[in-house]
Amino acid sequence: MNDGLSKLGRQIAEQQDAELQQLEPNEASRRFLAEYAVRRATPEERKHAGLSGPTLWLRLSLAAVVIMSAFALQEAVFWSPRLSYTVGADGESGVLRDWESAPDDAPLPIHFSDGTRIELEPKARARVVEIGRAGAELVIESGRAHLDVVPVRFRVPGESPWLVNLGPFAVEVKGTRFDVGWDPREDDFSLDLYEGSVVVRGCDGGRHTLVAGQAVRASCSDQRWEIVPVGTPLPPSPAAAGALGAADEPPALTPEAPAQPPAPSSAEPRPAPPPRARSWQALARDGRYGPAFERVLAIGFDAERERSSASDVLLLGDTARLNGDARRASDAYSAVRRRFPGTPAAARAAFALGRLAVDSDADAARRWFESCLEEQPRGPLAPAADDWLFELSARSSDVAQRREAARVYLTRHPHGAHAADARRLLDAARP
Amino acid sequence: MRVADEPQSRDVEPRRSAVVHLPLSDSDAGVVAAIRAGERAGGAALYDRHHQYVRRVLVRVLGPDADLQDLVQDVFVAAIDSIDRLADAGALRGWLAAISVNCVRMELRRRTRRRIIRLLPPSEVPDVAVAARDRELDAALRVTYHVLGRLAADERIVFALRFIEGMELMAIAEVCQVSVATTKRRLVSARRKFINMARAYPELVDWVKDEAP
Repeated sequence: MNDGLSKLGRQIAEQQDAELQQLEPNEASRRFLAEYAVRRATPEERKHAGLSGPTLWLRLSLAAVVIMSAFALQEAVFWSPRLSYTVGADGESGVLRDWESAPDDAPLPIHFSDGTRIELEPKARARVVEIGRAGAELVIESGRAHLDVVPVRFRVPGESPWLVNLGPFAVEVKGTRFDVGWDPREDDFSLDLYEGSVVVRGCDGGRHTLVAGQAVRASCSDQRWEIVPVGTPLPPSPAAAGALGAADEPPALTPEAPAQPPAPSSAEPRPAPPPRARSWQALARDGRYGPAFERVLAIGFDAERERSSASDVLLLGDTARLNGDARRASDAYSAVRRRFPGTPAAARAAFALGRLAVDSDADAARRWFESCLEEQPRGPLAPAADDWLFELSARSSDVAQRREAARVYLTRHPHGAHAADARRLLDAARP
Repeated sequence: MRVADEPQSRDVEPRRSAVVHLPLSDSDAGVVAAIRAGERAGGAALYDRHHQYVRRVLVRVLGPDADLQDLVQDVFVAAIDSIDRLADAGALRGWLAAISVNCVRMELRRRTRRRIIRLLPPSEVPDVAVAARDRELDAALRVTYHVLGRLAADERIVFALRFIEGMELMAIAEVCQVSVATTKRRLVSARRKFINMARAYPELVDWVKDEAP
């Protein structure tokens, strides 16, 4: 009875196994786990882990009190409104997922209803992509920002606390004051922490806890992760500084630093940097779009665009897009459509072209998403294309058009990501 | 075994004693004891011995995924954190599978909450090796995980473990820490939903055309 499914599953498993066999162990993870096993066993860690402490009954009593308190708090929080925010000195209401760009010569303030303040430095670009009752998620595309986050007193079930994404880095925040910056072209991440603590997820797969007074200077392409005192300027390029130049520096951790990053510690010699001969495709697939873009520019973007396979040209477009080069991204996606017409890759390129046009030319974006749907109506991107078509229509000032878009969306995706919004739109239209 | 074969490696060398206190080389019991004793080599050996298995369990459920490496590490961190609760060191592998399933479940639920802000569906994450081994199968794989992405986390897990990993019901129940009856119920539901959805995709229709929903 299950022959078809079982065969499909076996084939998938074989394909996955073939790919898994080619994967090397992740040395950064291995090193981190080695250190983690030691840290866990120290008396302080064991104490935090609850391995020595009160008796079982006392623990149970405490747990009961905590659970009841949490439940009461959750009830209160459940009914609290989501945060809102304003942008600019005039206090204009912010629109979720809209890009906010600071002018070339002035900062751009963003104020949240819980008192959290963010200031984008001149030329920085960011957007708020999710907002909850006790936090929000931001993407800083490029530039620096100062964040003064009001401490989160509770964690709302089903919601993320404050989270800031910068390229391959993510900063989890509970309540703190810090500066953070990301330069996608140079692949440079920096964070200066003035108060509280944050957890930074880097491209090595590790989670690093930082405390006040610490700063991070990191780069994925150079496999660089340095913890330094706050205010330390960004290091010169690795070529100028010498890859091992900082290895002998003493660590700048404050005495109360709770956790060490999995990067090489000062007690151990820093391993020699790995050979840097990876292809731009490999770098891009690792999420290192900055170095990938540099590499492909060095070898010739246009030539790669014309000779690579469909999937690689798509990747080329993604790499250019994520480096802010919309023209080259558009060229690459257009090349896919020209060189591989009628293929799933061409439909995906149409989708990507739609994505590029969303903020600048809504009509063009709509046409591209419709092309994607026409060419691959059951393709994996079809639901996302419908989502975007609905979003674009929802932005329209034409009420009838919005309602029609909601009706069409619900017909196609009664359980889609925007189903609730679509229903709200239709309900609002009913007398 | 990496730790055993490389006695001069950084993991063991700093301990200058001539005596190796714990037998780490070939047994899970030795690895567990080393972690409990706070030996650096214990954490490394745990990873060396089981990272492929953990990765396999995760990839079966998640499919091609950019966060796989993060999740592998999360599984091992959770394992080290709770190593004192492992009663039988010989059951380490199954225990890691259970932790993997737990981690992947949490990850799937987190993604479900955040799905609305995704710019691309999971099947389009561009870091997957899509070399042209078998394009049809590659497409089927991608669409399979796209469809699985529409199932509830618990149903997706049992489906992947049963049909892709090929585990028996009892083993699935064990790693999911639920009864066999619950496992069976989830599997029936997941299978029915998967078949119904898969019929809408040309990449899968041949695989499920003879399946009764």
